[in-house]
Amino acid sequence: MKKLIASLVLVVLASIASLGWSISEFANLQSSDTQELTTVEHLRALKLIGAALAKSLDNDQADGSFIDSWNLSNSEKLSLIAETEFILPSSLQSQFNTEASLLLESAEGISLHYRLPNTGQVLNISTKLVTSTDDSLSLNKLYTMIFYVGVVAILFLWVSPLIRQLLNLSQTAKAFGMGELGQRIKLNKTSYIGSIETEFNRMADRIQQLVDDNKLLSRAVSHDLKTPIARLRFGIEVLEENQNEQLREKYFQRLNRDLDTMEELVMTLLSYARLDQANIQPEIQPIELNAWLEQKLAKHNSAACSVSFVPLPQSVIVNSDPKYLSMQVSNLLNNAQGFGQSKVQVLLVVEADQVWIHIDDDGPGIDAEEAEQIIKPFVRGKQSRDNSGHGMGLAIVSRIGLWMGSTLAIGHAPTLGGARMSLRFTSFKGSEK
Amino acid sequence: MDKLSLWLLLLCLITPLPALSQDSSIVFTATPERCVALHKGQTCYQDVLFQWQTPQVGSYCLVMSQSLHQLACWNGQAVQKYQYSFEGDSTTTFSLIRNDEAEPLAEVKVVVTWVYKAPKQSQSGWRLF
Repeated sequence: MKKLIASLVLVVLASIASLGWSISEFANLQSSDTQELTTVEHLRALKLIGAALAKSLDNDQADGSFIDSWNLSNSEKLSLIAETEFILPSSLQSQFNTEASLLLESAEGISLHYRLPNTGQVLNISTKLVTSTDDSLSLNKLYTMIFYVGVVAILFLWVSPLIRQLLNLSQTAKAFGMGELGQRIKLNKTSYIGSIETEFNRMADRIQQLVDDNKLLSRAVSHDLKTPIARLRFGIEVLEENQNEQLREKYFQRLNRDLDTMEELVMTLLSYARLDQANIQPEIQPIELNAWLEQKLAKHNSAACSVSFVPLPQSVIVNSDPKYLSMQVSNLLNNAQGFGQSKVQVLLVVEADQVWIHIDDDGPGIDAEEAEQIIKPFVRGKQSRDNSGHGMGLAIVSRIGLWMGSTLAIGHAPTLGGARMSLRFTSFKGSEK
Repeated sequence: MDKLSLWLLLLCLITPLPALSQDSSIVFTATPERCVALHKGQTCYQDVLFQWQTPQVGSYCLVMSQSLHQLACWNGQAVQKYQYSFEGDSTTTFSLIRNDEAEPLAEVKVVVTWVYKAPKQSQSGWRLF
């Protein structure tokens, strides 16, 4: 917004200054071509001469010869008349008496009149000058017009992209509101309202994610709950008909198991729903990965599947919330142990500007196309048909990764031949051991 | 001798003058020649006195040149001055004509003037700053 306001003020000031200056210069250039005196300048000069002439002619020694010779050689004609013949309206007369000079204008031209109080005469200087209704005035009007039109044009040029961007934003918002959740604004570096557009897109992303989650959850709940509910109903019916105590005991245990499944599903859903960024305040703190992973892996060693750890020679410190990082690592380890046959390997690797935690297994592995799908909630991989779980593990890891800065990548384990689940940290502090 | 030559010189100087005045320059004046209004376009009122000298023969008229409106007509030198209440917003020419001639004998202008007002806007060119 600051950029917008600053550029608006700058454009207005710059256009006024540059247009004003350039038109002034142009007008100067035009007027300096015509070197003639304007009427106003001419009259000013004549007034000076007239006052001096009136002073020098206001005595009895002055004769007509000066006036005659003046009139012969000048276009401004002098004449002396008696004051009694110089008849003026009464209001003008008093003004003339006090000021002793008067400028009159007629169709023939402008004339100057001076009262000579000593001789009782009036000196007339008649000129051919007329009030200029010349083109300079209309030219000035034209320049003024050009100035305003220019300012408006420049402002329009400046404001038209803004209008276009606002219209675009309004259209996109409208379409989004009508339910086209895929609508986004194409970001442009030169946009005036770049920050608003970015925020709009971010908001749209979040709304779309929420709506998608909602759909997924409702679909999953209806699908995953229906089976145990149907089993419960069937089990209760069987119980009602059966009188054998041993069988009844067995059916009760089954019903319990179904209830457990349902409870587990609800718990998983709740924990996934709680992973909404808005509801979480992570306690970010520095974690030394070598030691932290060592400690973490100790809890996960099982008889069926051994976990080996390849630490880094130097210490690596990342900023993260240990609770959520632990949730990610546990989920990945459970997956690896679930799908791996006998071995799981955890590697800590430092590349140019990022740290990787690779968790490899020797299981069947995951295809590239499948990798994109299985990070969605309630999506289970091809290999996990007979496995327990709701397909939430990777979805949780991925979601935590999005807002903790430890993103999930799925690849192929080069040594063990199975899947490689990797967490990537982009900011870290490393030091030689 | 001195006196005689002076007289001759005087005679030589004077003799062409009456002939000239009789031929074309009939003295025809308007007093005052100027009617002053307070501003442009205003009707100007002024008592103007016309005075003239005409040859004895013929009938004459004093007319306004543009409208050919006759102010006064007379025979010979019966009338030699005429008081007229001028009223108008533009310079008017008055002429003295002999009835049987198309060309006026003499003309005089009553100039309508008004107080000059300098244009408010400086005309020295366009300036923004």
